[in-house]
Amino acid sequence: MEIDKSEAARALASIDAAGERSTRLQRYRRFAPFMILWGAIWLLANSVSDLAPAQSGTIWLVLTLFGVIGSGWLTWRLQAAIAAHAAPGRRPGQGWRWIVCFLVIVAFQVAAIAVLEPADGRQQDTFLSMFWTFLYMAIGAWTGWRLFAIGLTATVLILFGYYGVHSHYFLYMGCVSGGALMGGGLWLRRL
Amino acid sequence: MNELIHQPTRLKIMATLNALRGATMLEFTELRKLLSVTPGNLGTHLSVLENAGYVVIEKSFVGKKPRTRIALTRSGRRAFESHVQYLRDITDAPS
Repeated sequence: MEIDKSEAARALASIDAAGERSTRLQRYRRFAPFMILWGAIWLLANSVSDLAPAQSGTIWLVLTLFGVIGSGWLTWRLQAAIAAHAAPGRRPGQGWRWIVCFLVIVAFQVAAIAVLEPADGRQQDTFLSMFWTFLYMAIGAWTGWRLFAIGLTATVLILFGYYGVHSHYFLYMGCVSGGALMGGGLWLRRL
Repeated sequence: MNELIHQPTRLKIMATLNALRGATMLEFTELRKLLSVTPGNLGTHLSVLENAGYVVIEKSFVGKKPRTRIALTRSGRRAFESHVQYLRDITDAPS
């Protein structure tokens, strides 16, 4: 059986569309555990900051270190799975680049806080949190609309909290923004 | 031309599985939702692809719940890539 040019073009378009959907699903699945992890850290660290402000610095440091180690472990696990199932001739994953990217971003945040010297913890928390949610939107523009929507929702909630919530702001940030990230992570795992 | 792969639903199945770059296998229910086909229809096409050695179907249980996962085999990937090249050759050919 021979096919003409238009049928071949239709078949190629169908292949591209199916491949795109499959790739988007994979990206979501890979991103979801990181979002759930950091959502939980956000929730916990902010809640402790609200309930025990004196312990805020320590808890953030400990949980951030936990998050960095956890993210490294998730990346390693992901890369191991990719390497184990990689087809011949396919380039193995380079998870270390993601870890370097992450560390560069964290270093930028530390430097930005040092230079900007926020007036209080509330400003600092808002700046750091919003930085990540804007980043989710930027990544979402490349990987899929759900990630963009999660970033946008969390950003709106953060801004609403900063300008509208005056008492128990950190608890609000933990529950609403951390919860948004965790919920978003679970949403990304669904088809 | 690979007529077995060229059938529209099977072409989408192969494209979807081929895009799973090194990832774990895809569950039957996920594949069905991605392709918007009925379980019976998908099962029929997967059997054809399995008989040709293009896909591997792994059946197991998670607790008491049955789980079916599908992945492209190496020969399936080669056949798919070869078919895509065939299609590109047609579209790229001068009129």
